[in-house]
Formats: sequence, C-alpha cells, structure tokens
Amino acid sequence: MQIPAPPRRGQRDPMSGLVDVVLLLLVFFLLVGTLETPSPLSVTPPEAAPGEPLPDGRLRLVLAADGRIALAGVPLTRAELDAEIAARLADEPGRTIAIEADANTPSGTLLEVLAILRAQGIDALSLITRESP
Amino acid sequence: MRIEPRHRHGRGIGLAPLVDVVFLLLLFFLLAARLDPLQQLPIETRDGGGADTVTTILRLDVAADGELRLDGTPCPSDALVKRLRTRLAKDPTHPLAITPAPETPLQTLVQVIDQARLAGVRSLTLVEH
Repeated sequence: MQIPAPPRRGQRDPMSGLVDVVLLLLVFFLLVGTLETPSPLSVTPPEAAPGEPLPDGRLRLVLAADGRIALAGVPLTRAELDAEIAARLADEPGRTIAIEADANTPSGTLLEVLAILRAQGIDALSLITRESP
Repeated sequence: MRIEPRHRHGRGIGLAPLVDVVFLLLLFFLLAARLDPLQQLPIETRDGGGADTVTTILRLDVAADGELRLDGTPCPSDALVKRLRTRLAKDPTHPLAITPAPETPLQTLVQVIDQARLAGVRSLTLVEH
C-alpha cells in the first residue's frame, strides 16, 4: 500500500522557522545584555547584597588582584594614574569614578589606589559589585 | 520595440545569507554582552589617625582571615549586625570607620560593608591601617 505524501502548504522556505527563532534570540540578547568596553585586565568583582544600580557615564578604574590598573580600558602604572586622573577630571569635573576590583584584591592595594584618588580630591566613589545569588 | 523581461534567477534573495548574518550577530552579542547586571557600593575614604576622629568614630578592624574587632574588642561576624545596631540605637548617625588589614581580600571587606549597611550604618568610611 502506498501512502500519498501530504500536500505542502504554500511555498514557505523550511529555513524560515529557524530564522524566526534566531532573530528572537538576537533581540533577547540585545535587550538583556549590556555592552561594556572590554578591559585589558580580567577581574571578577566581589559579591554583595543587592544594592544600587550602576550609574551611566562613570569613569571605570579596573584593579586586578595582582595590583595592575587600567583606566577606561588603558593599562597604567601607579605613577601614570595620578596624571591621567587629573587630566580626565580637568576635562569633566565632577565625573564619578567606579572601581571595578577583583574579589581577591588585597585591601591594602585598594586603599593605596584610594589614596592616589584622594590626593586628586576624590573622596567618594563607588565600588562595583556583583549581586550575590 | 519590446524589451524582454529579465529572467529571474531562483526565487529572489535566498534566506541562507540572512541566517548567516543573524547567526554572526547573535554570536557577537553572546560574547560581548554581560548578562549579570553589575551594581555599585558607594564608599568614602579618609586619612587615618586624625586626632578628633578617634573618640567619636566607631572603629571596625577587619583581619585578613575575616576576624573582626569592634573598637578593639573581638566580635564574631554573626554578632556584628546586632552589636552595631545597639551602638546605633543611641546615635543613629554614628560614623563607622572600617580599617581592613592590608592582606584582607576585597570579598571579605565587601561582606563586612554589606553587614554594616544592613545594620543601618549611614556614614561609612574606609581608613588605612
């Protein structure tokens, strides 16, 4: 006995279902994810209780666990940091600085960096954290 | 004069190149985007050892292994919130100076700051050892 093949509905391309799903995924990741400028240092921020959302337009200072520093994506030494911060604050006074430090950074290293910032007149800033699960 | 209609190849633009491009975009956003939202912890800093600050500020030392000392007396970490609350009950705006040992990992320090905020400390500064 021969079963006739079911008639195909319309002329729909078999790939269009796949395209629909992939486009949906694309829109999902566009909406959910936030784009960040890639940092030359890889850091994992410490976990903290749910807090305030990160403000826009902040100057991001990355501090790795071994004490290396990058400001706005550019690696710097401690000596260069001083001048760089001064130059950036001269361009845009009152700009907030957010420190993205690794969870394993020794507090001494963090306080050294804070001392450099304080010398530039910055005594309030924000520490970037991840929300603890 | 009659112009022959141009012969169309296949069925117009194929779907396959579109799929390729969309897949590339998807891959790009998968790699470039960060899904876990970051948050901020506001901190203030201050020079250590000011003469006027010693008497009025509550001092919390954090050792490298996470051991706490509140105004010099050892304090178990699970009792910290309670002790801070009793101190703050007298003066809700009492400032707290957290002094971490140089080797204290940042994660430990952030946990202590979290607990202090949970206890209701409003004025919180980081002070060098």
